[in-house]
Amino acid sequence: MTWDLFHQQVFPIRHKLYRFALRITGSVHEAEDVVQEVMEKVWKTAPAQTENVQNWEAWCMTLTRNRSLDKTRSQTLRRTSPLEVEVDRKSDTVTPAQATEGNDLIAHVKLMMQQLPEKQKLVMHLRDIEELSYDEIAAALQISLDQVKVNLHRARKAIRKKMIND
Amino acid sequence: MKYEEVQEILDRYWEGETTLEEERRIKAYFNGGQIDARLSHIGPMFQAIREEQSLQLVTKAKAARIRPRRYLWAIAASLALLLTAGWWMFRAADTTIQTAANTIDESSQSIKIQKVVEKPPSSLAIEAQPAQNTLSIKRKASRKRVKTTPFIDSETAMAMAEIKAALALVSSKLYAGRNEAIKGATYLERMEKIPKRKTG
Repeated sequence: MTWDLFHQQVFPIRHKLYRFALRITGSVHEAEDVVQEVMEKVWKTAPAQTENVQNWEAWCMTLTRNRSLDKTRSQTLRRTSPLEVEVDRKSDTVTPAQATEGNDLIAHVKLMMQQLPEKQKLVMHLRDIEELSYDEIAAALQISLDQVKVNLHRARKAIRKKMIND
Repeated sequence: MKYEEVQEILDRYWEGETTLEEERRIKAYFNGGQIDARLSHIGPMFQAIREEQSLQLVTKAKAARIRPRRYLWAIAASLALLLTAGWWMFRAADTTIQTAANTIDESSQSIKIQKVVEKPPSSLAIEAQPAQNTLSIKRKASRKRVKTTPFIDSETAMAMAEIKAALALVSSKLYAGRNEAIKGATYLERMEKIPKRKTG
């Protein structure tokens, strides 16, 4: 990885990677760690390995997703995780109490998006928040184009249904 | 954008059949402020998306990196200050020792000269009695002594001065210590006497 390549392709998308990591981990601290680790990994990757990379954003997104999932899995497996971390994790994302409080509908929508099934949540995030094309989403999540469309459709339908019901 | 147009795009949006461009248009509409009352219930959805889009990674690493540097500067500055202060003090102490050494050197030299000057006559008087020819040799020797002994190199003089100063310091401390010891002893003696008096 060369300095120029890193600064042109990887560094500018750090906020995207952070939002994606935050979507999966639900923790600001863990998302920060994930981005840091992904950046480091990309930087240390041998040039021969990066030759085949067509879409840097999608490649980095995949790395971010894998690293974030590893983190959340290790978090759930670790039964002896300190209490503060648990409290912290909850405070970063919107709690149900916060969402229903008054008429904070925006927070409520955020919570609904966070509560979607994993694949739907990630597809919707990459499409509606990061504005990626279907092809890019398929590449980042390593799923088929049809899978992208189906999951996006289901995610939006679920949100709409909840919004109408509430 | 008209209500009908927005509604048409929205219908396709829920189905996941809109293009990125169309999605950007309805996002702009819902975040523009003038939303049709019939669509107001959808508003929070796009406002939530906009809020999520504005989330940014706050690099704490930078702030954390600057702080220790500031401390380092402070440490470096205080160290430099301490070093210069120490150097000044050391230099001041050094000069006083040197001046002391010089005065001692001068005085010791004058003493030595006096002693040596005093000696020759007595030796001459003794030597004069046995033989006259040895006198010249002895004189030469005494002359040599006169010449060599007074010139003590500055290093030895300094060493001497330092030893003298150190000894003086030790003796003064010893003196003070002895006084303290005497005081303590007399105090103990007195303390011992008090109960004796009371009992006696």
